[in-house]
Amino acid sequence: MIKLKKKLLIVLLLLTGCRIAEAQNFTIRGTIRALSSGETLISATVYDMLSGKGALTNAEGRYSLTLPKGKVILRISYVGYKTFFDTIDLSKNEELNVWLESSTVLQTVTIKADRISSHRSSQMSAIDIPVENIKSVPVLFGETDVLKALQLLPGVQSGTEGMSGIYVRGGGPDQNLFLLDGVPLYNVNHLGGFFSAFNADAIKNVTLYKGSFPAHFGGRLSSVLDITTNDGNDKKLHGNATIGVIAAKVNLEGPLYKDKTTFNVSYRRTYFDLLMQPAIMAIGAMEDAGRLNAGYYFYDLNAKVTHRFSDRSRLIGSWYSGDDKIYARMKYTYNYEYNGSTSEEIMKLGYNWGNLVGSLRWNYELTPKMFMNVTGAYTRYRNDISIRLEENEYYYNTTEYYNAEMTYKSGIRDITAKVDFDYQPNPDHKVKFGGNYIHHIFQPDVTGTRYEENYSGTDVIFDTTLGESRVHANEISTFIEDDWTINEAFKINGGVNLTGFAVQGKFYPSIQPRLSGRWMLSEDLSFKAGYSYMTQYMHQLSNSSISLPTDLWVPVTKRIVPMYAHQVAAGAFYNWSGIADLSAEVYYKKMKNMLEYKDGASFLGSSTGWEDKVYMGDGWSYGLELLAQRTIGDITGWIGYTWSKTMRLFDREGQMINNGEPFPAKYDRRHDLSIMVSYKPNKEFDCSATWVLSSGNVGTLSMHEYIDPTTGQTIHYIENRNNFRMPMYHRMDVGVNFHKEKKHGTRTISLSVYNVYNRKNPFMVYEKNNTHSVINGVHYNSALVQLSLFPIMPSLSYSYKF
Amino acid sequence: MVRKRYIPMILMLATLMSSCEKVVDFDPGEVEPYVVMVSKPVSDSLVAVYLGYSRFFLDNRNFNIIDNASITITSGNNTAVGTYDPKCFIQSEYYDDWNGYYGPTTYYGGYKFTVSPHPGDTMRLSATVPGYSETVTATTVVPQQPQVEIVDYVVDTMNEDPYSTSFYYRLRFRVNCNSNKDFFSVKLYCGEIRQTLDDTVWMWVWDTTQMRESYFSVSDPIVNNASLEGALDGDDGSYGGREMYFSSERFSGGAHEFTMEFEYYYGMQAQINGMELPVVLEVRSLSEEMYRYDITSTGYTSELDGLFSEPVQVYCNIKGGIGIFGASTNRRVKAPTPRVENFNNSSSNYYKKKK
Repeated sequence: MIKLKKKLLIVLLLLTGCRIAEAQNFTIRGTIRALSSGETLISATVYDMLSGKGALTNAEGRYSLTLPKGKVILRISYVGYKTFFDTIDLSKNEELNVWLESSTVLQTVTIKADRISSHRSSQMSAIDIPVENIKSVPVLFGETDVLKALQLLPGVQSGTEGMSGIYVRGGGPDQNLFLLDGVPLYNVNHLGGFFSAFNADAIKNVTLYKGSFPAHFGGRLSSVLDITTNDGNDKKLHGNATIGVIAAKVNLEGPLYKDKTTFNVSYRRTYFDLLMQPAIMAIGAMEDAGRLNAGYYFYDLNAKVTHRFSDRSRLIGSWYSGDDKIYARMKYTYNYEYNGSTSEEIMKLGYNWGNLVGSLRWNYELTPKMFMNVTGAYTRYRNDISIRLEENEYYYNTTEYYNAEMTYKSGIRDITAKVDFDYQPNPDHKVKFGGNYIHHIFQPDVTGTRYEENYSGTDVIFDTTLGESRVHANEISTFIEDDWTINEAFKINGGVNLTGFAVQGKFYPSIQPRLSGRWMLSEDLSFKAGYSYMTQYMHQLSNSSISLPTDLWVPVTKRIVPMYAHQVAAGAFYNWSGIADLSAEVYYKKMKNMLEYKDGASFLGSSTGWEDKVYMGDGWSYGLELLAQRTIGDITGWIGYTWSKTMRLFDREGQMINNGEPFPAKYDRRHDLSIMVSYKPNKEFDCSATWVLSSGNVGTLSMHEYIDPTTGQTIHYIENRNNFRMPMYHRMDVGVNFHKEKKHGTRTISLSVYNVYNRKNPFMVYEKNNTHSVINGVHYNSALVQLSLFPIMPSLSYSYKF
Repeated sequence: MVRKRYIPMILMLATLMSSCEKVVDFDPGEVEPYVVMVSKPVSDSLVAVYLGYSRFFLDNRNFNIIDNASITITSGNNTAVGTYDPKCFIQSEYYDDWNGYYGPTTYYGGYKFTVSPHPGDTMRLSATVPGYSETVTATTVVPQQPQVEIVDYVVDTMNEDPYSTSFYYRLRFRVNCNSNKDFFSVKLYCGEIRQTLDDTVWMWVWDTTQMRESYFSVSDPIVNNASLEGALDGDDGSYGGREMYFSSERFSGGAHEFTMEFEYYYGMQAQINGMELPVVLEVRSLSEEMYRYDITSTGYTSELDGLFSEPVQVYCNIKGGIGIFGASTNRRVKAPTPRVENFNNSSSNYYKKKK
């Protein structure tokens, strides 16, 4: 009995001691912002130089750091800003908001791809790219493009020449989750993929995860691209207007209510349609009595309003809409003199596709150690076509007419509600947990036909709608993860994401563990490894490397089960102080239940019965990614190299492709090298250049043909799918910017040249008859020819920033 | 003078911008021709085998036929040696609907055998080609005769005028399968009443004797799923064409009923009064090899229509070479049809019969 009392006493003492020890800890919290704009800074580092403890700011720029009572020397740093130092005698909880000043030294750093928290973070396979760096990458038509900048990084591959699509570590284009302010965006391309939907003027931060996914992400197998838009300057009105070869854009930001409410609006529109007007009018004039009005354009509108109730509470409304529009209107008028009647024929075509995303988010700091985010969002992707024919006849006081209209609609809508929490009980643990619910409404394709006629006073109306009805699906997920600093050397991030998807009376649950760890071998050298399990419940139907508006999102069904992937990655990271950051990563990814189209199948035009056109199989990818980057000095840049192999195996009974043998995936590319260099000697001038070199895309070619005498048909015999590799791809782009301070702002003239040495890279290859070719010394009267899209393409833009 | 300075620059830019197409210099690796063996034996019929060489896809020269091979076939317990006949395979003249003329008759050399396989026989084919180190072999099993029965039909007159008559014809038939690995193809033949060119008198005459493959449609997810051509052709779970393929895999064996629809165009009424409308359903039971070859080779032609379609790998079961060795057992069933009576009356005629 006495022994038991002693034990109880010891336990009580220990507990009390813990409480006393805990009571001696205090929390410093606050927000880190840019001094010039008031923008919150994401992933800024807050570090106590005495205890060696630190924290990163979250997506709202908030941090929380719990430290023992006593003296604290804080170092707060962020790329491109002067490091801030402060000494605090910590004896109570503190609120410390810091406005960082831009660094003149680092302003010269125009190109930088920074791994999250560098080599010290437990996160690997992630790249954080400041938007200023994206803007300095020379691109096609001078249009700044987030996705094309990402294609220059190791592990990320481009699709076809000029396209914005990304292929990450052997995954397909539908395996990337694009989050705009935390809300999924389904179509991220304009003009068939030549331009991405992200207007760089509206973007604050871009983070790409290629593997070792934190548990709070889910829903796609291969990557997560997390894009945060600007909140808006809280000091005064600022703006930026740019006019380029094909598009113009304007950005305005400023306070609506000083220090409380800010706004940021960006708008971009192409003017192909305006430029083409003379040609369109000339075509119209060729038609007797006809009037033609036609064109194509796309636009993006980003808007964000942020209201700060207090330092602990903020409400953020965010809006994005972006559409591609093709329109045509043709009108013919005929006058009949013999009876005085007039006849009018009108043809109208409208083809619109695009996204709409609206979200409302409330950030609230529940306690100094706990931060909450509540989000409600609506996402819509639509693809609408309408064709209308009208004929009207005016005769005396009567009008006779017929109207015929065909409409085609498809798309997807999501209604999302989510809540997540950041909890930091002590400096060694950073816990995230939360959950979300998404109601998906898939509308694969619906065709409507309407016909109206009135002749001699008789009305005829025919109205019908055909196609698949809407498919409703519910997705829930919950997660918890902890970023745990075990000691100076070891740090791990572990968590789990639990998801479930209900569709057509079927429920698919999934438990997705995630784990990554860091081992500091020395102050500058770390080793990291990670494992992630991802599940995906939807597919995008497309079978070309061009992103078409007819590419449809469809859910898993009773027959088509969810895809999932296991990925392991490991790497070494070395911070070569003052010179460069070096990293080497290897990965292996195994993917199950992937979809490929049956031989001969095409989804062009319709998705009805799509389950019958696909087979399910497996895939795997492995590779090595090397990155060396220099971020300091006048000359900066990086060299990235990827060696990878991506294969598919469809050998299930009745679902064989390539006779059940493995074959290279469409985007399998063995070598991929990117070099990016930027030079900024002064404030008036900067220039940059990129050079890419990669293995050619694969395709399928029938090398042999024979006659079937029973049918007389020539059979084109294909031994293996994707058995032909196109010629190597390489290209150099350069860009030069001239800046000049004006009375009210800064003027920049940008000149960029795409494909400087006019390399004819293959876009597609095909057989052409009556063309001479020599293969292995043998002369043929047919040839394999390639079509190239973009020769040397200079472009010029003018922008003014105030 | 000033303008002249810009001419070379403009010419250079124009050259750079215009030449987007160029011949690809590529190494295709090994392009030595394969030995091609094609044979499609039909039960209770004599067997013929084609042997030739494949050619590189850029080569436009004629295909080379092998006429000096040693070739043997075993069917059940019978083994026979093939003899070469330069007119073994005949592609008869055909009427080109689109261009309105007759295509030429083409002959292909091949090997004839005095062997007639029977349903259930396992057939083995072996060929030795001089100068070709590998022996080319293949195996197939002759399928059992298909069990088909007509369930009912409906005929409806769609159009009548002094010059033409069309019938809308709906036919239901049932196929009984022995297992869930039976493979079939279905064709429809209608008596052709069309104009043909009579060479002797050089005039167009009505020829009512010829049966001709007809276009038909079937709304059934079974065909859409099992047939590549169906998958390509119909987006709505239907088939439309002249030869429909399906497999009992999709309905787990047993029996399955299909409803076939087609339009029967008879031409001028004066010629058809008093005739019986001939409609014949041909169901072929196919070996698995034959089925896979047929759906992939027909799929290939369809694939050409779609730039964005996935390429089709034509099935091959020839060891040591390429081609096909697949068997079939056919059965023709005459569909019950009404006799055409006086159609000079413009009122609609409707027939309905149940078997």
